Amino acid sequence: MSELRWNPFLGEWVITATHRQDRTFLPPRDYCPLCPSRPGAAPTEIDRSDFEVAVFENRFPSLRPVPEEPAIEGTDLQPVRPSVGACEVVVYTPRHDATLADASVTHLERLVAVWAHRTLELGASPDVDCVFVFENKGEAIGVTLHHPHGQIYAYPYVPPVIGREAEAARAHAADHGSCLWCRARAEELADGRRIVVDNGSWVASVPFAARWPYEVHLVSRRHVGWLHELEADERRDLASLLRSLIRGYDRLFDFSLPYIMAVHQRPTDGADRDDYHLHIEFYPPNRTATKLKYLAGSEAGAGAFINDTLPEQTAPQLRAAIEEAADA
Amino acid sequence: MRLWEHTGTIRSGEPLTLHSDAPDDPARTMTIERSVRDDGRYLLYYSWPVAEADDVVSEPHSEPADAADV
Repeated sequence: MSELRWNPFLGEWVITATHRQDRTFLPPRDYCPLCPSRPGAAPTEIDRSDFEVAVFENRFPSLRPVPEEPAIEGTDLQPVRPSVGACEVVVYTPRHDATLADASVTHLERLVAVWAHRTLELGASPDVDCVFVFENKGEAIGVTLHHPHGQIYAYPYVPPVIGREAEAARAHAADHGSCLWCRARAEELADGRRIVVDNGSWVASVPFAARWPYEVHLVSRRHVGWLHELEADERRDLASLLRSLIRGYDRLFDFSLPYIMAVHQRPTDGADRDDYHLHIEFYPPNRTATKLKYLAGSEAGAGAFINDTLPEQTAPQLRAAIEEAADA
Repeated sequence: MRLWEHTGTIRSGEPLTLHSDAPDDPARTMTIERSVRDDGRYLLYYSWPVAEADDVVSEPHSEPADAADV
């Protein structure tokens, strides 16, 4: 059972998806549903013995192209809508134990091309207002399958964070006549203290007002809104940057660092969103090797983040870790 | 120039047109095989004709984080 319920207090939709309670939870390796099917073994989601990148509709989707009708009747104050959209799983590799840090630049470049293709294909639907590519990595984040994979949600509305960014971008453009991300990137490059990587067509930095200790944002130098607008060399630079950053993350505490990767692209709702700038955000939950940052009272209850670290101190740590990983 | 373009807008649903002149652009060389499962869900395999020199997945260089580690 899945539906959209309107929260009038926060002005946002909440997706209910009760069937997800039954989804596969940390199965043993031999029963991984994302590994290629093997002769004599139970069939998996991958119906062949090998592949490069696979994409399929989630078996336990929150959103689906042809949703069922809501099970409850809404009101004018608290309306309900069918949960139309799509939830896709992107399987990065046949290898169960790999992570993106183990992938070659070429493989990552191909993965970026797949993300771009999915964005355009899903975003073309009149039911889809925003295509969100993301990855949850590590049990600390709450993954239910260890096999390296990401996800794509095609929302029938602009989700709150991207909506707030879009409004901030619109206001900044109206006041200053320029792109918010382009201006912030220029400021970060001029300052330099929070820069993590600058590889020509992409700049990675710990944001000035980072909410997570080792949060990093990747911003394209050229003002584009979607992955499919990137040129081939820009996609290759992005692949190279992703590899450097993720390997640096793993070097930081000498274990494969959990993270959330969120690809923020321009909404596809048909509104004038030219001010919105493509960027990718990473949020590792660790504040030290052994301590996690939790979304506790202030963050979950009031929406006010407290960062126990300074971006000017975490960025040099990440730069050093990336350099060490490159030399390894 | 956009990598792929719809005839109309991104919401139009028209077929994608690829705009890429780079001969080794993975977006240009990729093949997409589509199928539909018995339960109606679609499945896509993306593949490329040439395995590039560095298109190998190396051995993991670090162990996955154990829940007890964090």
